[in-house]
Amino acid sequence: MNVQTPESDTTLEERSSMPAGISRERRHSDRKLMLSQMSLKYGLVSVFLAMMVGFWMLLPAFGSMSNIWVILESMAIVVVAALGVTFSLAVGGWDLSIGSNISFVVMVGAIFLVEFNSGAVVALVACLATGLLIGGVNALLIVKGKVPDMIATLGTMFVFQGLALVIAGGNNIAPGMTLANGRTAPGAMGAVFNWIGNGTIGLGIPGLVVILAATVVAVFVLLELSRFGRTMYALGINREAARLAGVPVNRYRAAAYLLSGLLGGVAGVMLLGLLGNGQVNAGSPYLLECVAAALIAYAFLGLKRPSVQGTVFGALFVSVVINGLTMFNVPYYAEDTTYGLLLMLALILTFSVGGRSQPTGSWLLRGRIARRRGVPAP
Amino acid sequence: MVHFAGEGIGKIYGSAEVLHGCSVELHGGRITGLVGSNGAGKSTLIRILCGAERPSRGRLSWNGNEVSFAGPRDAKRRGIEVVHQNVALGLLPGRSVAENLMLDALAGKQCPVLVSRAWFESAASQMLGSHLFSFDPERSIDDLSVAERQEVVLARAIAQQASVMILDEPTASLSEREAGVLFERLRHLRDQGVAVMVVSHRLGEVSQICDSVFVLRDGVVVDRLEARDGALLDVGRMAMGIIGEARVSAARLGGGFSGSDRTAPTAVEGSTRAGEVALEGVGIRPHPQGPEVHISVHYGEVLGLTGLVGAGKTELLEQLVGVRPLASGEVSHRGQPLQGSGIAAAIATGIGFVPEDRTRSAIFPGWSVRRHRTIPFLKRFCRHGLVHAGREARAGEDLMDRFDVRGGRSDIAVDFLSGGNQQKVIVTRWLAEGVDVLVLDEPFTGVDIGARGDIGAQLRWFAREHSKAILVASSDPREVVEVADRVMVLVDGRVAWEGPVGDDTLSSVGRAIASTGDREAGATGTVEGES
Repeated sequence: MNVQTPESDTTLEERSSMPAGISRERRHSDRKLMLSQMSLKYGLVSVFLAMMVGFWMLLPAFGSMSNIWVILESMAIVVVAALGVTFSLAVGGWDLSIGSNISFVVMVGAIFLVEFNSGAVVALVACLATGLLIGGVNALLIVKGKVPDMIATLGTMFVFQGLALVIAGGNNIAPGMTLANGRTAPGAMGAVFNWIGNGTIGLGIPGLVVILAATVVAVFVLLELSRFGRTMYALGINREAARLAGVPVNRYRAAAYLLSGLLGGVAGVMLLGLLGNGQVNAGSPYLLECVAAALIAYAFLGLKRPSVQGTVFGALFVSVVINGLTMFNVPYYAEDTTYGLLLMLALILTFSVGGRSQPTGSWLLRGRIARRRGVPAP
Repeated sequence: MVHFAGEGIGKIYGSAEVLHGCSVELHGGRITGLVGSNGAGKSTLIRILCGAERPSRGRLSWNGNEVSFAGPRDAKRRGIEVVHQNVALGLLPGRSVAENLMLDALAGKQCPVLVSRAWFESAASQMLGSHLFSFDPERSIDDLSVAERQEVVLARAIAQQASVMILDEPTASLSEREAGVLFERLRHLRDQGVAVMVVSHRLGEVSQICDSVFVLRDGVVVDRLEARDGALLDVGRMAMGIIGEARVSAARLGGGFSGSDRTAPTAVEGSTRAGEVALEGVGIRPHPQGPEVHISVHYGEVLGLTGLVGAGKTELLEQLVGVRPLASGEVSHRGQPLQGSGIAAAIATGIGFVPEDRTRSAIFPGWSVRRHRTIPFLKRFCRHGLVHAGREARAGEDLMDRFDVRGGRSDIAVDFLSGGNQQKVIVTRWLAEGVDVLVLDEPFTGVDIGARGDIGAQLRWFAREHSKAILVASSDPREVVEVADRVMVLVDGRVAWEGPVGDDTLSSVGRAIASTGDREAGATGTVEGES
């Protein structure tokens, strides 16, 4: 373990002059520390890997290619929306409106496709614009209106959940439905949305997984590697220090909520494709799943902060557990309990085990730089 | 009288052994000092003495009998009271003085089930009356000055009939006069048989007030001084104990900078000449209703700004660099008015700013040294909008090498550095980046003597050798005189004295500051208990 502390400044001479009892005690405490640091850092990942192996041994079908696609498909929407939440967490905020965002976007998309027969492109643009609009309302409330983030997004959560019902007249929007004026709805889901939900590309890669991969890569570059992301994390950690370092704090906070809204829009498009119609409150279950995934991220590799890689891991973890349990015929209504228990496990690992977070900065770049410097990677 | 001692106290946090067997004693009727640099283990030792932490090793004894505390309440029951450095921690904001005074009593058994405002106020004034404190119990805590808030905390602690009273950095945010009042109170407590312990960075104060002093370095008691026959304790010996022989900063002035030929001269640097005006503020009001102030910092000099807490130093500095909007007047940098107010614009033109409260306004917990190095100039470390990891790492390593930041590689989180080394990172990142004006607000608070000497020497060196303009504000006149070429004294938002540093500067500065003291005392009559 590469745990550097001010204490390691003591010279060898000082160490050797210490009474034997101290160094024995120190060794003992080193071991204890090592264990807690290890469990902090690799605990959740180990649990995950052990679970994978267990499922695979007990259920041969678990490891089949088709099941892997099922797992990835089931996590795709959660990941995309949870990455939106991750943006808000990165700037030290919260976005609780993500589920309503998805519900509303699904309805807007369905209305454009089915009622207006607008075609896929217009519907797509409308969906993403709707997501951005919700993000904009959040940004306005939080940044300009100075409403605390959780309360503001709780407010928009209710408003857009309600509006989703209002614009659809309280009903599902399905192709072939009878409209208020008595005629049959002219539009259909169309090839594009059908492909997004049920199509494949190349060697059977589902459309949802393609969008998943593209979103993860884009968000990873933006949040973890770019100046933009670094600045967002900075103001999430210490807003005053970021301001004094010259960061236009409010612009970045607004951008985070806009991006969160946009990703909600993308998730809505994916869900609309998957469902094939506009269902009432379709997005609601995603709020808890996204929050769970984004918070499990805190326990990923002991980072204790939001991160793209952690959020992806969180969603993967949850999906694998649910998938495995489903294959064991555990009923679907046990899912929420499972989410909750996993989240609690992750939070205990984050906050109860080990005192301080790991000393080094970016885990991703650490090994590379260390190698370049001729120092063995930790 | 009480005799409270820690014997062979050791404490291990995770992998860090903070205390390696310290023995300290507190006697009733004596004031004991505890000094040491940041990270020496003072706070940990206090936390153990007051029951907030359990020692990993060693034992506590009370009048010769071993004791152990289950928690701070347990220690309180013995009569151990602590006044923490951050008095806000012990106060309820927005509530009255009376309510804050009665906080401890609320948890006690004598407290009635239903408490009324009348009960609060009668109990509080009873408590205050017997101890020479005079505040209005109905006032809100928010309206009190820092010194007054500290008095509230102190009064509350005294009312518990403490037999051991521990004060952590009690004078950190007090003026000299306020500190004098506090010391009178402490002496009074001592004479009543209380065992008082004072933890402080200010060695002068410690030598004045303490009967004995423990010097802590790297978790070990390295020295113990006893005052004999009314003589003051030896400040020099304390300082040597705190720094340790290996870290005498003067010896490192040359050495620390020998490698700095590597400083690539920046474009800004090449065009500056010593003596020219670098940063100038005309008609700035430190206090919104106060007089206008003219301030100019020249290339090649360190300008020191001093004055009591509340004299307007922070307000002046923050207006200069654009952190707070200008109340009046204008600021120019190299003769050009600073366009587009705001700190970002100032940074872009080559002005650096080190804020007053490091933890609150400069440190990103969990972030590495190199991330702190680059954040104000992140754009310069990017290619196509992506942070260039190699360039950033090199800058971080370079900073730690050149400015002697101790703590390992630059990807270590700053949390693991001592306060002094954290401050070095926050200060020297500007110098390393080649800003031509650096404005520092109280850069030496919470910084140990060794690092303080280093930072001071670096500021002077950069001003002289690289023709930087440096503006340092501190409420401790000695710090300012030590580091500056020229000193400005602010009193109630106006410039009370200005001049180059010479042999008698300190006394001139002292007189200028003291002149306010008289005025204030005459005007408002807030000084009491000085007799």
